[in-house]
Amino acid sequence: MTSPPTPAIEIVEPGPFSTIQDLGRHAHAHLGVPTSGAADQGAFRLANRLVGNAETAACLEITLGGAIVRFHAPASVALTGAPTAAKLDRRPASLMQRFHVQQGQTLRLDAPAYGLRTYLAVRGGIAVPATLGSRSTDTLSGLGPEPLQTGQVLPIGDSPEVDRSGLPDCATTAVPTTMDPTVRVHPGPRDDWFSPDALRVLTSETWEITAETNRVGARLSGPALEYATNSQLPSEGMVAGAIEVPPSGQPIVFLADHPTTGGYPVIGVVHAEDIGLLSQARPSTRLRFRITRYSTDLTGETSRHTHLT
Amino acid sequence: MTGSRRFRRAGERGLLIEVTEGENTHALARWLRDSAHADRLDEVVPGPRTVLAVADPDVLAAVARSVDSAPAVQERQATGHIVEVEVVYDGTDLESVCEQTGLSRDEVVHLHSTATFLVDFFGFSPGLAFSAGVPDQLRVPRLETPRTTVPAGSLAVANQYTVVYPGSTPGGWSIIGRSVSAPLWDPHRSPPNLVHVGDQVRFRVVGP
Repeated sequence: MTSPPTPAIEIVEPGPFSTIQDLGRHAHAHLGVPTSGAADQGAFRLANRLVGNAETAACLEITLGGAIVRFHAPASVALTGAPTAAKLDRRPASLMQRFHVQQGQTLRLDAPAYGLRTYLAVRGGIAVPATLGSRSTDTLSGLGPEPLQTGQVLPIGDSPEVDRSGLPDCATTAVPTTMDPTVRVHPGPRDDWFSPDALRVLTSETWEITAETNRVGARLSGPALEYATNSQLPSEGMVAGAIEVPPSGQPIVFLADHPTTGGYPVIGVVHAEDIGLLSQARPSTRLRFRITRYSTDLTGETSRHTHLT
Repeated sequence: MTGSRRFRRAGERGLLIEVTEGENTHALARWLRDSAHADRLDEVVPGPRTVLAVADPDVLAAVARSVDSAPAVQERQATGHIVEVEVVYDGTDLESVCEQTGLSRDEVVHLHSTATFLVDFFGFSPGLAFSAGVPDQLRVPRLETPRTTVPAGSLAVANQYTVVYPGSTPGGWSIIGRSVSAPLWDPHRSPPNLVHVGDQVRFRVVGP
């Protein structure tokens, strides 16, 4: 009798930039530990649901394809996010759908037609050790595993006891698009730091994503957003999606690996459901912002009014 | 009563609480972490003048309703613990700091290395301890455009704060030197941080 093969995957080629991601590090922000985690959480969660994992299981986040992965044991896998022409050995592999891999088979991902990040979930999850409660590679702080390297062998965890695969709901996931996206934004918390015209400029002009864009933030190029004051804002806590504006007037939208605090005023915050869309937008993508209202006011009531508390 | 704190929303899942004049944000952050909402708060991030709470909208609404019952603690917490960091003052922005302040290089080094700083809070990246106490004559604003990467161990200043960058990160502060001591933050060391909020920090010149 031979014992069954140890579940593991081998990174034959990592492609331009591939990392391990989960839902990130929580409750350490006051020590300056960023949340990190999957950049496009909708696509990431869907990948896990498709293979029956808990949504917290670690997956591969593959930027601009190019990755080749060999399976050391049979596996159940799924690909979501940026659509890539994937091949399992020589046969085309499905996207947005669970499929099975035999021991020794190789999965190759081409560069996606559009979008930036493809997620590969393996039933059982990527079982590397966690740092501060997460297996995510944080490109800002360096916490978590290094970006994937050629020849690395990654252990796969035990299959979940409860199979959650069933009929996963794909509808909540925004698929990256070839269109120029419009992104919803909540004004503030520091919109009053800017000239009266700045919010109108933000929401009426087109913004181009620059090449200096990564998991920390999307740097945008467009007309300058002017301050109304010369004073310096004390540093304050930052949320994912915050549109921070340095004195140059060119905004930076904070993504998964954003710093926990920042010293430049935040003119608005991108709606949580649109952060994935922004995280999938390539440099030179042109985007627009549209003001959206809060779904609840600060009393916890569901808002029926347009006022922003 | 303590006067009222002001709320600013920061997206659906963020509530920025502006504290009252002179209020200790760390005390308010601790109060929130000990409150009935603690289990449902993802993050509580104190800054110099604000506390950011991150949670689902209904939890933020509950925080907003209850936070006025939190006492406004005024005094600064001091641990009495003093950490000494050995530094070399050879940073790329040293000349620019001299120009902005009208000080000579020796005066910058003297002012910075004889001051005692108080760790006010952590932020920006893991283990980055914002240490207050830059002498008035040495204060410079942040850079116009932040750098995309700053080497680990860089010693930098902006306004009343000085920091040692714990990892290679983006940064918008003026770099005046570098630390040659053991890193103040190491996530594989237990505990990862050598300094805590309320500790005092001094910088000792070892060259050039």
